[in-house]
Amino acid sequence: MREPLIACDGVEFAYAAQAPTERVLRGASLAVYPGEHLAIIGPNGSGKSTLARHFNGLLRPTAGTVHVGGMDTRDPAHTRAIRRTVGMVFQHPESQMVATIVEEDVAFGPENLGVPRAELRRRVREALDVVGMWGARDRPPHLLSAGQKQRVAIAGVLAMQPACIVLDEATSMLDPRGRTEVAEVVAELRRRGTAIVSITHLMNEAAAADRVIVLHRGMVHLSGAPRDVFAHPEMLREIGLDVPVVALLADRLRARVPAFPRGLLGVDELVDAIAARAPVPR
Amino acid sequence: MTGPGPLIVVEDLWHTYMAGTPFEHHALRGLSLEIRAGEIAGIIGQTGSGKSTLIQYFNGLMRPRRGRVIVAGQNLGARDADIGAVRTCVGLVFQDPEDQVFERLVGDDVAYGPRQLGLPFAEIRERVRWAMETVGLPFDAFKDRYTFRLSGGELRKAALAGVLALRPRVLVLDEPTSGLDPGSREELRARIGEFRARAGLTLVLVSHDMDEVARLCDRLYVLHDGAIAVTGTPREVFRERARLVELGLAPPVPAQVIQRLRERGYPIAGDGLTVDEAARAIATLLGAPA
Repeated sequence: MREPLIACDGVEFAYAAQAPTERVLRGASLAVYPGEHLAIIGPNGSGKSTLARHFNGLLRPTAGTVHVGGMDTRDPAHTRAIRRTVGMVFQHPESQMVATIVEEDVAFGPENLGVPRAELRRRVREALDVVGMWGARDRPPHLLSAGQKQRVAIAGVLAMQPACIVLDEATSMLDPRGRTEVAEVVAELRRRGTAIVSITHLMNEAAAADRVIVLHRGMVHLSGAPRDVFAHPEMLREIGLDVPVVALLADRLRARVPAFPRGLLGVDELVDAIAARAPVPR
Repeated sequence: MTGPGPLIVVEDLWHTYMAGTPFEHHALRGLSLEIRAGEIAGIIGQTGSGKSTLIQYFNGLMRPRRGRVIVAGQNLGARDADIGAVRTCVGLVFQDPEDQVFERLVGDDVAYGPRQLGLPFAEIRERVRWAMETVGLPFDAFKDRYTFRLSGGELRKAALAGVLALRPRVLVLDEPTSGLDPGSREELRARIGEFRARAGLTLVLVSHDMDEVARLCDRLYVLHDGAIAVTGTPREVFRERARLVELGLAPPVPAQVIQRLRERGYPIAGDGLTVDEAARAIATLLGAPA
């Protein structure tokens, strides 16, 4: 059994302004393992972003525990080490950009950690290479496209060499090209062994993860491989979610052709499944 | 306004940011289009293709320096243009509802615009009630709720109601469903069709979601580098497959599936513009009764 990188055990949380009965998280238990790509989906108000803020101690549970690399997030002595282990990227990259030049922006985090000069340069170069933005290192961030800004924000987190990066709806404001760019970076990070948690409303994006967790009313509602989670459109629809368009189309086909298989997620898979059942064209 | 002509006409419009500096950038390069009364027009294109700049001309937030923009019969380039009339005609809802909702209570927020118009109290209340019911925020249940306690989907609806309460003839929605969960997205899409019917609205949707525009729009304008690269009905536009790929846009997923099957030599009918259309065509291919 692998040791989890992040372990949430019975996490409850209520914002101070709310009545204690209005808990956003109501006993959420889950784990993030080293090197995996985990997607967390859930309807608006299900507690996804609140949960994400527990992963690096931005929020601390009202009840239950969160351990990051074995460290309890409630202990302030661990805060710095926890923030170095888990990096966060938010919806609006502008909100986490500080410098006037891309290269300096990426250097900001590790510089504050006291990384020595030579090591700092190496890290910045590597982080910008991974996200494909080294060529834009001299440019002011505000002149970049939204997708490019988000890649620079990821590089800034990456330069701190975290074991896990949490993307909190990092692609929801991006156009299709920007989303593809970020998806490619995520795949590359995963190859390099960084764990990725993507919080997303885009079912196609969740379909690309190793594992999907469905959050509903502050609790884990479903969890499993994408093809298992998305094999049950009716269960997801009940809580205001949906399945990727390919799975939806496959589901419609199954209504007419009962033997049609479940669990298809990609366009190629679907086309193959249809071709396997259709008379060979002449 | 005279006659039933187009509500918005844009002719050879140019827009340059930071003119005369090393960062000079042409956001619009001779763009022309028409938004006709009663239609749902879709504007699609990559970030940076000029969409956001363009829609700011639609309600007079920007005035043309090169090219012509005529909205509700007002020539925006003319010094004596009645901008008030333009703003009353065209309502803009931006991408981030948080930026547009600022009052403490939902009812006050929706009433803000009509109050600025100086309407009598009873009329304001009636408009607020109508706008909230239309977007799916029941007036009695929501008017006294705190805006900061609304969910993302409710906040989006509140922003929409605030603009609808001004009773525009044209509603421009910038990425209306981004950041919403699939359930809220579906609900809002269903309501968009209803708006047109109930409020007699003309709609302009700016969207990245090809499946969404394929389903909802009567006409699409594909922007690229500040000009219209492709235009037509969704069916016509998504048939221009090679051109769209060149522009970095992918056709709706069901259309991709149909296209792949056709490439493999299957004699399959139609374009597969929507899931239902594709499912019918594929089921026939699989020998299922139609």
